[in-house]
Amino acid sequence: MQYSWDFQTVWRHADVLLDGVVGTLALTASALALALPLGFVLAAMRMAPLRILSVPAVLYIDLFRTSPALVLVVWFYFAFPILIGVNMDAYAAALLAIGLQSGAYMAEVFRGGMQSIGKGQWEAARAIGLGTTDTVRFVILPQAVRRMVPVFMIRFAELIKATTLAATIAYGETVYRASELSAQTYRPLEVFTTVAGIFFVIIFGIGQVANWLERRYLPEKAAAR
Amino acid sequence: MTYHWNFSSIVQYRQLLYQGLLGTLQLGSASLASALLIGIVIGLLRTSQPLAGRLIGGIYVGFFRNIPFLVQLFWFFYAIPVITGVQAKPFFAAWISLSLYGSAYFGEIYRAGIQSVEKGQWEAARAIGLGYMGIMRDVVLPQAIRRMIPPLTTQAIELVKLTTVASTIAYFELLYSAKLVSDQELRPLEAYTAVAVILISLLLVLSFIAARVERRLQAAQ
Repeated sequence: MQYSWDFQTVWRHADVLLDGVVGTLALTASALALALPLGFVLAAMRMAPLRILSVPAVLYIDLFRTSPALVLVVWFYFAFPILIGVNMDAYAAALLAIGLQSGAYMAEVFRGGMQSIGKGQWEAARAIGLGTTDTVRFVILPQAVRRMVPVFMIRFAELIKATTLAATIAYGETVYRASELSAQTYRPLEVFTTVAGIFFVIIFGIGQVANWLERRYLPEKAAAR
Repeated sequence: MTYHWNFSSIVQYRQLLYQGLLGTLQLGSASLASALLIGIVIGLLRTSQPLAGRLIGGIYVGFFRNIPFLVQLFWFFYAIPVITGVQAKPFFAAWISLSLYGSAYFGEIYRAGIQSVEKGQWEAARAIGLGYMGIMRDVVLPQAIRRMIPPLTTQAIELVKLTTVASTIAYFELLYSAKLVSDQELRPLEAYTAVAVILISLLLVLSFIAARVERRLQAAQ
């Protein structure tokens, strides 16, 4: 069967998709703003010697990493507002679901980076009289951040992919706008091909930046690949 | 405000949840099997000698990993009727897209595993007269597989998590059954919480099995 492609229709409604991209970026940025500090706190708690801090952090991280992202999105939209008795729009529900889950992933990025620094560094810092805070600030973090950045970029790309799930609760991001557009134009194949192209450009671009950062900051690891 | 939980609707419609669980298991196992198999082809292409092979493998992996799964699912859902002329069954569209998406990730794990075997092993095997198949089967894979198992199990669990996305094209799996149950009695909190608990328990069992397999492999080394 011969299918005649018609991208003209999509192009005429480019503003709809552009509106969706803005929605995707807004959700990504706010989820990131929630996930980064949350991940930092969770990682610090998890590495703390006190069990009263580390056990809740481990439970939180395991729970959110095990849950399918779409289940979280749907749960925070349909179930959570009833539980706390507050009305919540699609944006707030998606932000909570995706941000809280991403926080769990970010915590593991931070922890992985910190623990990749050899014990000798801690011992040496203590030997020259640095306290825990100073050791982390001047010795561990400067080395750990270089190793975290490429992994962080991968998590960032995964976060953007996860925001598409907000389409299922009618938040106006790219995939939701694309569904509207394809219902309106009867051109789903062209619309979703375009959307796939948009995401490919963004996420592939992030991957290239990650590779570049890895080559720049971790030449020994990049060469081993 | 304190909410009065009422799980009677869940008990009443447990048959729906049971069917949903079956749907999740069916789609999960079918996609896992085909993704693991297609992944082998991709992994071999990525590590092959000819540039064309590596290029095709690279484009395949780059394509499927850099587009959100939901977009791929919708794309296949709409493209299958155009290609075949018949309306796509939700299972079929979900199975195809999960297999292709998963195989790109599995392919990269196979590639990393194969490349983790030192060059000297290849050279030594070639020196004693083994061909490509012989080297792979007798020298490289036995060493590589142990290193592949932990990332493979992690990725397999990610694939099972992704089966929930198939609910968006009305494939009857657990999340979709939650929607059905919550529509029956208008008790979304109980329905979605119950399904979340079932899914998380299923995934915890899977990761527990995975951890045991890994420990046994490490002990064997």
